[in-house]
Amino acid sequence: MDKILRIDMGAEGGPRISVSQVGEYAGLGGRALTSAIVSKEVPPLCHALGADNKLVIAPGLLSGSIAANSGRLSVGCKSPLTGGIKESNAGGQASQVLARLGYAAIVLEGKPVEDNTYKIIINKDGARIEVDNSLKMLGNYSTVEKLAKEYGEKPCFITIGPAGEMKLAAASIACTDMEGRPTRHAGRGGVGAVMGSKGVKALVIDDTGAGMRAPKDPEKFKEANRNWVAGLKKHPVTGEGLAAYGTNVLTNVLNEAGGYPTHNFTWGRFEGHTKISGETQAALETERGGLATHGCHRGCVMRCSGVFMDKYGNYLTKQPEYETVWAHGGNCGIDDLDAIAMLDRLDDDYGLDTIEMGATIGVCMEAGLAKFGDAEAAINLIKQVGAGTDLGRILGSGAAITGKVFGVERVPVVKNQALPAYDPRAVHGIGVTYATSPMGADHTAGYAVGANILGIGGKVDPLSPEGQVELSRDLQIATAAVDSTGMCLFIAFAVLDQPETFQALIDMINAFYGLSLTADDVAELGKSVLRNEREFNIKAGFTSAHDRLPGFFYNDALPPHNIKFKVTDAELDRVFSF
Amino acid sequence: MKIEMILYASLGKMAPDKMAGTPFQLELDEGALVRHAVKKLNIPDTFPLIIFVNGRHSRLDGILKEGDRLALFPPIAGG
Repeated sequence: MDKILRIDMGAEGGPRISVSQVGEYAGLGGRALTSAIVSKEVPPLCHALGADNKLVIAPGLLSGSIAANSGRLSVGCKSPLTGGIKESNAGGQASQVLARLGYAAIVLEGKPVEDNTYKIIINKDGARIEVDNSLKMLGNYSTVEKLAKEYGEKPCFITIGPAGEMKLAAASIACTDMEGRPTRHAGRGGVGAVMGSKGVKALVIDDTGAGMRAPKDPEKFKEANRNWVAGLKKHPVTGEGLAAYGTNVLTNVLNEAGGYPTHNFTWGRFEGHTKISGETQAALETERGGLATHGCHRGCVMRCSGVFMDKYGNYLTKQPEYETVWAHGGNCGIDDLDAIAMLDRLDDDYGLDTIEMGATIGVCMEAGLAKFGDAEAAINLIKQVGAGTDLGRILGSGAAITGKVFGVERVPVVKNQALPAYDPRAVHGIGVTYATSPMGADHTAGYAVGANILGIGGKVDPLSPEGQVELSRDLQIATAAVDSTGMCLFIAFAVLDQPETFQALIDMINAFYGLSLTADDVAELGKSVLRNEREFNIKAGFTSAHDRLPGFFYNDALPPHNIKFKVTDAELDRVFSF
Repeated sequence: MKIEMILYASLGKMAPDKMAGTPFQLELDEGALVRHAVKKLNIPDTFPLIIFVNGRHSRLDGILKEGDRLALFPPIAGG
């Protein structure tokens, strides 16, 4: 993993491929690498869809090795949604495969002159780029099916759907899973629109003949990985809970805690919660011959995913995640798992962020375009996006734009990015993360829900402002480091509770690279990533005024606890004082 | 006194109808603690639990009163 593949899409005479050594970026992976390249090479004031923006796709430091759960991919750029720096993270096969081919990053830069649709083919012999206009405006599923006919089932595919080609700010980038389905998305921040602006529809990546990445100290690495796997299997969440019910097990607990945003963040509880809970979903998946337990990439031992069949027993989509079930479910008053799964399928096919789209439909319902609870109307609205109608393009631009167009005050966004599935008034710690993360509202940037609600990584009262800044700060630092390793963020549940499992992770990195990092060094890596990202955002025009939640969280009390968000502005401004 | 009891996820199998998330009534002595409800449901008191009383975190020694809603979860997470 010592080379960077760059493709200048705007080069004279057509796209030009070059391969260079990692050079000054040596030792970085995943988010650390994407954010380093973007902050160094992209002018912060550039247009996100212009020639100066770059799309950086990077496997993590341990991706492509035998390390369990090391298959997360980072995708970075200036975000067309937030206007700030973006790292969007995806599962699927791509990270492992790219790493095994030796690439620390793929960088798409420049802007094509002609209106062509390109595909990039990467294998052990190198990379090439070809025009393939037959792929134009195909959904992700059809794109992958067509590519698999041409290149076989072995490669993994990174693709965009019509939303990305239309350069909509809610567009995602899809990565295929173990079964070759385009179900694992770098969803957040409109990264798909940036790929679309480069004219690239698909990357075909085949690691045949490439082999596993070799550690510097194989024996120590093997031992550390053994301890790592044992630690993940020992923890009740990473060992059992996630596999049994998937991420959607959270529906009932957030509902019970009164922090489940319902009807566009009007209430903290949803009457129909048990109909769409992880328990109900897992039972339905099993009953219909799908899977309630499934890994999103090879080497995953937690297996929080699943396969959702329709009522006739035919494949419809992967198990919709908690955030998706909430966004398209309770947030819109919808308690029908089949409708939610259909919305998930449509989002995946068009290439849309499910969180952004669920929040957007919620805003539409608030505006009166549809009634809360009307699943058919929600499906039709998402279909407008796929069809590229004028309304669809507005919706595909996200909740903030939609709220403006339809005159809605209650729009749940920070830095124009939609809030995920935890109301900050009842889960104060995650509110701090939403407000201050350089990414915009992003639960994964500092998952304070663990300590606030689940008793993981400590206990901090979710209804009080006390201790939330420190909690969010520490988690944001740790997360920036984890996102750089290629590790799935869910490893944090075990790492936060079990010091020996955290040590096993550090031991793996050290054995792999011949280093002697300490826990402090890992924290320093996280801090340096955040510093890069904050600096980019400041240069892009962000101030402390952007590190705030929308006004209604401070003004409107949330039932059932009837509580407002109480972390002060001065406290929020302390998050990055490290 | 009677309280409203809800068991979630893998604890659902301890509920009378074996259903996770379906509320049922539990009869307890006046002044009973969460611990007593847990014992009555045959859940070992060493089992790690996430405990909510009326939507707020509680503990095994939390005091219950008539009409309270007690919800129990095994260790879970997602995101």
